[in-house]
Amino acid sequence: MTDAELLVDIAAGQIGALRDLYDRHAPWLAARLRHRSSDRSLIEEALQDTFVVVWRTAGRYRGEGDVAAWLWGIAIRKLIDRVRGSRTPRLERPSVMESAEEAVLAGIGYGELGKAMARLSPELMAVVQARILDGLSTREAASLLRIPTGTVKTRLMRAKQIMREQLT
Amino acid sequence: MTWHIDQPTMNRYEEGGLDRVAASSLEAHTNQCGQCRSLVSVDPGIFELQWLKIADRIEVGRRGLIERALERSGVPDHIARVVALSPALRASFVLAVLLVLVFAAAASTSNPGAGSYRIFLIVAPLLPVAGVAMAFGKLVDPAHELTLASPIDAFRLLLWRAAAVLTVSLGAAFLFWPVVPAPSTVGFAAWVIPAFALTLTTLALSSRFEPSVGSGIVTAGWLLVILPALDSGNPFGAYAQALSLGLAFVAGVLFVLRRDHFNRKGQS
Repeated sequence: MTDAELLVDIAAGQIGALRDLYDRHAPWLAARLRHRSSDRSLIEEALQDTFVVVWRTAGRYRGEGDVAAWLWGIAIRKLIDRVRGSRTPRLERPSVMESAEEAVLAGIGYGELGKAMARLSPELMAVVQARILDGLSTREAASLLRIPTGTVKTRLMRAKQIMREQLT
Repeated sequence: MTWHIDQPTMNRYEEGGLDRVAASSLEAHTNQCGQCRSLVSVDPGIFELQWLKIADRIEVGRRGLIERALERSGVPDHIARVVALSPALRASFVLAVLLVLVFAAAASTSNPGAGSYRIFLIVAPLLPVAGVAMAFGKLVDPAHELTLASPIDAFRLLLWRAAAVLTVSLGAAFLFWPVVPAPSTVGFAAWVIPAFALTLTTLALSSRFEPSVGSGIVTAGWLLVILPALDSGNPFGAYAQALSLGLAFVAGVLFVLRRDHFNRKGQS
């Protein structure tokens, strides 16, 4: 069964299908969340939130893009909600379209762009990761990294500038 | 896909041993490649425990029709849970409210013209008072311990539950109001304003007494005032409404001023 077929069953209320999806995706989602926050309990809660949200909103998956990317879009936003504190804003529709940057990264691995990115300071790299690779909005990135939105914007601009210089 | 991640690389990723560029590249790849996703290791204990918690939340969430409605209307989920658990929203309370209203409406319509519609005006404001007693009472709330232990501001919780009680009881009373043969000079404000006044008084008293005691005092006081007043003049006229409004205001202010007492009560 494909992931998309599982989502159809989940939308129909079959908890077994959710379990199958959990078996397939929970491990890597957890591993990836651990690269975004060091707080283990926040990560566990965000992962639980993710699958509870999937249970409720599986019907909204429209079949665009990978289910894995859709799941990650939910997971990273649930983590942000948990980092923000108890007040949970509405889930923004995660973007499931593969970004051009992502395609480039997945293709070249350790190529020119990789070298350019390696030149970035950890602060700049964190912003690039949140805004470009995870596809978060400026505000979401600010919440996750616990920095003001203005700082996210300026750091992203500087990062792009540095990378442009490296590549030309 | 022209390349795949090998196991040692995945292990280093999980340990945090890859630099950020390599980690990002790996993540971008795992978005699209199920084969590489399955290389991530699993701690069976934590994995199962997590699943149980998810299943638990789904099962609990399934039951709460009211809870889901509350969440959909923007109430934070932890508040929605304790509000939905409040006894005032249970079928038994709603049923009791409806029964009382049926009798009150029946009594009100039994002898039209002789002022029997006033029975409804006397009974309707007492419904939310009874509801408040149930909303926070130690004796009647099966989730009482849970509520005290939850890290939620007791004052805010009381407000939410009181709002739920008012919605249920006044909403039900509105359903029956068209049946009551009241003269056109008597609007629904005749029972809504006293209902607010009595409810706020009960809430204010709850900062000192058990809600059941507070609502007992309020009910007795209401009957003592209203029954003798029925013979002399119109106890639901404009003058009386202004008095009710005044009482509602004073009680509301008192309630807010004493908000700290609710939280302290929870800790003792």
